[in-house]
Amino acid sequence: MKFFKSLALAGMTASMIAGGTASAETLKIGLISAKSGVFAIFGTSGEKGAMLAAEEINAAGGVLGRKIELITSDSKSRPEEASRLFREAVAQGATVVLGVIGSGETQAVSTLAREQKVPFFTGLGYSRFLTEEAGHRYFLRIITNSSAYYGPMVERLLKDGHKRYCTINNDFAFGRDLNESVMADLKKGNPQVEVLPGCEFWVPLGTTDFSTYLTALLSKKPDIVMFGGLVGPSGRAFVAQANQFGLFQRMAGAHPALGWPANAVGLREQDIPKRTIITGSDYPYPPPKTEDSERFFAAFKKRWNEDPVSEAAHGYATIQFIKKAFEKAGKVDREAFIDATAGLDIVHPSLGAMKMRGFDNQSTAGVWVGYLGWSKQYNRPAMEDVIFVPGEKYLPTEEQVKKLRSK
Amino acid sequence: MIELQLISGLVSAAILFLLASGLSLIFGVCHVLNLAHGAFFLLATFLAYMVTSQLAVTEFDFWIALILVPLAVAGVGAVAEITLFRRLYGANILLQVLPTIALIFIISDLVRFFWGLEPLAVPTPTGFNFPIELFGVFFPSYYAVVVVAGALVALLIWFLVYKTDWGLLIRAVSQDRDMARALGVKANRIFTSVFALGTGLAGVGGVLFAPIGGANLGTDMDAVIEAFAVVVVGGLGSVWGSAVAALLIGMLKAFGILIVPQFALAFVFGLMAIVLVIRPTGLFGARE
Repeated sequence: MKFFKSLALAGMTASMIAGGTASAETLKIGLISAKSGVFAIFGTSGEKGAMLAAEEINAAGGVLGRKIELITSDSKSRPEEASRLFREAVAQGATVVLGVIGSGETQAVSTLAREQKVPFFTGLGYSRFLTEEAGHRYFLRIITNSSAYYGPMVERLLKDGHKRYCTINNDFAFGRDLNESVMADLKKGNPQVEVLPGCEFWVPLGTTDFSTYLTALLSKKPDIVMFGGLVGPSGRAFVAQANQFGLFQRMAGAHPALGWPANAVGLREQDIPKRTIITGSDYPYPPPKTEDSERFFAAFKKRWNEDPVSEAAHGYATIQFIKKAFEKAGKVDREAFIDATAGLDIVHPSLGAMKMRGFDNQSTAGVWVGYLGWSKQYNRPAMEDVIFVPGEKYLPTEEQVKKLRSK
Repeated sequence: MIELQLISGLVSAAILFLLASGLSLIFGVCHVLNLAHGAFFLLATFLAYMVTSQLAVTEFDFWIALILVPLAVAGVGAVAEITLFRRLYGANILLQVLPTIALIFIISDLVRFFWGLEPLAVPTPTGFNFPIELFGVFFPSYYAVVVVAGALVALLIWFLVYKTDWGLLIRAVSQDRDMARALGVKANRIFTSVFALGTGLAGVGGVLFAPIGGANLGTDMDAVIEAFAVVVVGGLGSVWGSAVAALLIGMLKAFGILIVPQFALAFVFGLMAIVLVIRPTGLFGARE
């Protein structure tokens, strides 16, 4: 069936020049987004953020005298499709490629980027290993490393003193990686932390009926359930159904990224337990009250007539970063571009100032941590009692990165 | 707490049965494997959202959706039968499969077009949005509605197939299409009505599922894969097989999750493999 699907969808790559006509020579940037499949909301929004940035840059004169031309395509949330589209974008002349695609897809494309020596940014692959074990010169990440995403949450959970855990996560690269890392760090922080026997659940991506899992969780009676690897429709469905079962009256909850607007979308006010679920976000609602954040929110809303989510801000920031790096390099050249990214800083709409670490191509992006809540003003899930935690402290040092990569 | 797991297993079984019975019925009578069956289920979850959000003023919004949506989905099913599936009877299996895959894309793209990408929440019906205390824990009362509805639909199908003239014609056509035609049965009309009933059942399943899982793009593929597992275990074409297999798989999932969570889902497909080896036609399938 997959065969027929790819047949039907082959050759659906489109090329567009953002904001006006092309000058003689353009700066081509590949933009692969997961616009359908499980990551559809993320990819669609990420593409819009990147397009907004390209339009703004082109309106202001472009990069090194060239207009940005985005070569856009839809990965269908499938690694093999993303790889094919990457090759296609490079064949069409993309100097760098941005993929608003999941961790599995990112991993597949990253391998190709290394072979072909084409700089590749991810706008949705948060997994720690992408810049660590699997990292290389041609893979770059503006978005938060999953270590810096869950690190602040782990500290908070240790402080709250939960010991008996159950876990439930989507069964895919990111879910597995996140669960393993979070539980390992919790046990390191407090040796009494344990996952109850038979209480580690894995559900397929896209699962939306959790009744059998919820009754099993109620039977096992943990202090807290860690469900950080439930993404897309699964996270939302789990919280809403858990609340119907009164689950969060009996145990706390932890999900490092339910404050992600795209993860929480569809949750209603009555689905959200009050101050029970510890979570994080790289684009919290209400959006941070900084000048950059408010300017981005207004520009995005005006351009697309919808509220931005994390990936929109990431797509936007990544294109801005790419522009800045080319200007620093002074020429359109892949190697010079990568050299220029080392130590380069940028202001991200919601995460503020960050710097690209030259030795692992990971930015110092941090995360907002707080309780899952509700915003009446924006009429959507939000966060309460948020604090911003910078990412640097949670990232591996240069020596650790070297060690991880040599394995 | 075995009792609790039993109930959540029944809930899974009810949804699985509603999905699989329609798929099986259509195969049994029309001899086409409707891979787009999950797409009708998907359509129903979004229609349920539409109806309940339009009628949010009345307390009966959900119950109205439970009547209107399956009828609408059955209508779409009937149109699909007349325009598409009718041309596929008698064609070889590959030729049948391709257009049904096309239908999956058409329906899911239409849903995307009308409702966008974001998952949508469908409210639990008024009167059933409170938990009931059962065996010391809370259980959402709505789940009881799903189980009862599943059982009622099973009864209804039994009544339609075995106690009505229409059911008699269905059985005649499914046994020997040409003979039935020779005896004056308007087979085309039977096929259309069976298609409408089968897709309507997917519609009932979709509406009942919506307050639990919401309306999400992507449920079409998950739904058809699960329904297919049930139909294979139960036997293609056998509604009773679907009922038994849905119960079996629902329970296997529920208790698998409680006892050995890491293999719970493998159990379902393991069961499918075992049944296929021992009885290739499924538990209740007709022998070749």
